[in-house]
Amino acid sequence: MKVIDIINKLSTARLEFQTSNGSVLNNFVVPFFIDKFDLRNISHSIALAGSRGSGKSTYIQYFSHSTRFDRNVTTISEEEFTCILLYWKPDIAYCQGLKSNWLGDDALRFFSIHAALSLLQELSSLINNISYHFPEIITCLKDNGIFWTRVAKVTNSTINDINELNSWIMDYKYEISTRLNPVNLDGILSIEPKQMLAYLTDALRLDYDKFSDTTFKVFIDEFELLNIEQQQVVNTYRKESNKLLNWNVAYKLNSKPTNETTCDQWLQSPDDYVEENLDNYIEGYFKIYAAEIFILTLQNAGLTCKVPQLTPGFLGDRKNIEARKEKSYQDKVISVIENILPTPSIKSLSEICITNNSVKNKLLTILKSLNFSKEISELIFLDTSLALTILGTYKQKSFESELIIKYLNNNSTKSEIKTIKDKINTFEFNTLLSLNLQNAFIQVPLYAGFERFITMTTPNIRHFKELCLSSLKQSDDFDSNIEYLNIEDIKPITFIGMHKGSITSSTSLVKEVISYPPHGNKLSHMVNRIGELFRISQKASYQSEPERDIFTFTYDYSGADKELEDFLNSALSWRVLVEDESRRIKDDKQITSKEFQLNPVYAPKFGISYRKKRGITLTMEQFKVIVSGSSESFDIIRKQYQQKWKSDDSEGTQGILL
Amino acid sequence: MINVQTWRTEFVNEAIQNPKTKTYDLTYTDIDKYDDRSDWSLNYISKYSNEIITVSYCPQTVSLIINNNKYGIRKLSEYNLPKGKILIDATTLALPEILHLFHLLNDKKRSFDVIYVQPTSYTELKTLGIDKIKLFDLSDDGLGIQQVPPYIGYSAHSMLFFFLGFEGHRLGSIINSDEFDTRNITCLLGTPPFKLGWENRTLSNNYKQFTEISSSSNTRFKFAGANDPIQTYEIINQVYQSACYEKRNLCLAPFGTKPAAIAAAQFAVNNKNVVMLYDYVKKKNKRSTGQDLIHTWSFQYTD
Repeated sequence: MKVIDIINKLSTARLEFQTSNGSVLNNFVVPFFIDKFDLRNISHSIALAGSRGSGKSTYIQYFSHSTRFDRNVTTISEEEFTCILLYWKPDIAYCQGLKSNWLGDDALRFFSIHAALSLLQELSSLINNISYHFPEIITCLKDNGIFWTRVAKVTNSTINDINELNSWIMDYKYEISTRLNPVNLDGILSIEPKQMLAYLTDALRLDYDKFSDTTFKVFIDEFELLNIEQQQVVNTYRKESNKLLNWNVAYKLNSKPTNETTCDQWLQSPDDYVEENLDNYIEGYFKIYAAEIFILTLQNAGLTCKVPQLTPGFLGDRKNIEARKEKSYQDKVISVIENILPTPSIKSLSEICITNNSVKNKLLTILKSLNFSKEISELIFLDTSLALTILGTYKQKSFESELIIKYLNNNSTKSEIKTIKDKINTFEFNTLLSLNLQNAFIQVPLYAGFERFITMTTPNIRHFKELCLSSLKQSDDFDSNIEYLNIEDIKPITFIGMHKGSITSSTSLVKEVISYPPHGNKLSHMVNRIGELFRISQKASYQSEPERDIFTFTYDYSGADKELEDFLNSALSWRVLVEDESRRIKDDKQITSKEFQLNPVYAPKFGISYRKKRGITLTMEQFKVIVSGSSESFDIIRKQYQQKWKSDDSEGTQGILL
Repeated sequence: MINVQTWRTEFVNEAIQNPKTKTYDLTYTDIDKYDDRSDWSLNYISKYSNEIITVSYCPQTVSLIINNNKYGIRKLSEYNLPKGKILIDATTLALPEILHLFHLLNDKKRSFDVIYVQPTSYTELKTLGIDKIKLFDLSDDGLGIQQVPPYIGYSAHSMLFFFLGFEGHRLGSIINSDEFDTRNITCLLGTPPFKLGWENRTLSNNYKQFTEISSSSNTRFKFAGANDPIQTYEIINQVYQSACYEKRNLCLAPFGTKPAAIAAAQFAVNNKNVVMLYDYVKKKNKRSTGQDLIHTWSFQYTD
């Protein structure tokens, strides 16, 4: 394969678009936590929450009958019949259009018909999938006849086999689609989805032995996007879940679906359901998981991997989890990925930076002004991390030349050494960020490397893949005529290629924010303006503290400002913001308990840090201007911070530090 | 069904005179005062119409507010349509109002005229830097993409026909909502545009979205004059026929020019299984400046 073919094959990000039958066989890397979190083994009703791109749908589909009984599975254990999972992603745009203010009670009738037809389709597909492996199911259903008799009752039509059922569903869907404009329910069936499913699954148990003890679980995806009345109906089903028929939902993390039901008894957690956060499960294993997924994606694009275990079949089989947890295996995986996406250490980034003559000259001038001797200056140049740290911190009040001299002469105490090392840990990367922003002719590849991609994208697999793809695209040193067969043959992408790829991808993701409904404009204002403020901070000639990239504002989250809280929930739900409990509460008077960071994947666009370091506190008025104020009002805030941080906002090549 | 019988185009300064008798008995409009064109069209219809009726659509209550009276969409036929010659001022009305007025007039078997005033320019977004695409500051957040009742239908397996405008993020929100299958998308580009070169603005503002959908779809492009509802109607019909052939619903997302939205509304009223999408963005004040041409289309009802 040529590089361009690999890039084109990798371009399809959403896995849903790659499957037409709902199966994710050989497209799914079984995560390590699967035994703890097998959706079929959990007895209570589940609400699966996960941020956008965390792979909720794929995770559910892995357990659904479409994957478990995929025709390409070679052997199927009897245990697969213990619990069968039906996956339903409602036609959200259609369901949202079924408004009760328009259709009155008929709105829920149309919704019920949609749900019933979709679930009937799922049952049909289940029988079809099972018949690939257990063809006798068709005969059993035909000979015993209970299922088809009941199907006939539900559909009010004579239906004797799967083909007739599929044909009836298609015809009836069409019939329903003609009944909305104008609204006409005359002669339309009244099908109650839960009753229908209970009735038909019972028939399956009676007709086919393997189903006799089966638990049927329904998973409804994108639950948060259904209308409130529709959520209430589903919640009533969830509340009435039992061992035979169990209703579950999945929604975006931080979305706030209702817990109301159609009766007085609301859904309560943990009595009626348990919310499981997929992000929390993924975060612990993200690095190895992302690496495996990228390798699998390359394999599905047509490349092979020389590491014998690394095959789609191996990665998709849960029996191999223990083997995949072994260090030797993980080292091999990371080695494959690090070969393509090598991570430069901060020290090596400093070495790249210091090769720049302007940086070198500036450092010489500074060292001279600090009265360092020639010998000490030479030693400083040999320790590039220290050199860069001096460049970034020499204006600080706490800067002590003596401490550095002692350190370089090996006369420091342990605590003095620790002070110097801490300073380097804190300010070396910070200085590199500042130099990149202050000087257009310096481009240190700060966002390059697999490790940094992981830090910036956890737990979003889709973002990780986008950074990888963008790096491949940006790397212009591939010979376009070379045919690649193995993943290992792909030569390492240059640091600068990965750096540019990160910036391109990050810029594209920032541009995408405006199209996140329903607060796209405001979200986009917030991301661009907060990013701009932190860019100003990072560009300042004097870095008094580590990178600023956290913000908070004076609000108590008590529900007093519903509009603001809706907006923040939307920002968190789209993962435009990352929220954390405030760690910087200084005194009891500070009422805010939460702090926020822009999604770290946006950092390259603004040239700021993805590391969570220091922050600023905004007033509510300032935050509201940032979110929805005019550009003139924001300009006032921008200039205030520019003055405060003594930063120059000109885009030219005029250096500040240099 | 309703069809365009005649189309008259004039420069605005030639169009407005002091007629001895008023041409129209009633005009449906939205007195929004968003830009120069709103003021001009209000002045125009005041001179040419005996009665001005304000119309707005409320997506939450799914009702049309006609002169402050609320009519649920399902009971819109209960609205007592006044007698006389009817004009619709499409300059100020958004797609949902135009769609429901067309629906109402078609139901009542009435012919009518539609006017639309083109602006001389649209307001650009103030941005720093010289290398950025010219962005336009036309609208604020809406409710997100929704189907407009009663033009509701399955979106899965539908054929999406998106009319491109100056705000690429409106196409972006369809892509990011994950609710529409953008693998089967057709885009309409208004060309020739209102003004020479404006099609480049449309392309550059939607470029990012094109690259995004091109990775997973085979996007088709169609072209029709930006101010030509007749040609646009014919293009929609082509796409509709192909959707019908493939047994798909046609989902229209008319987020481009108003004349194209007029064609979409007319098409939806005249045909079955058409789903209409709208995002209910809030128009910004001073979103456009000046008035250029005024178009008058006469719609004839036929059985």
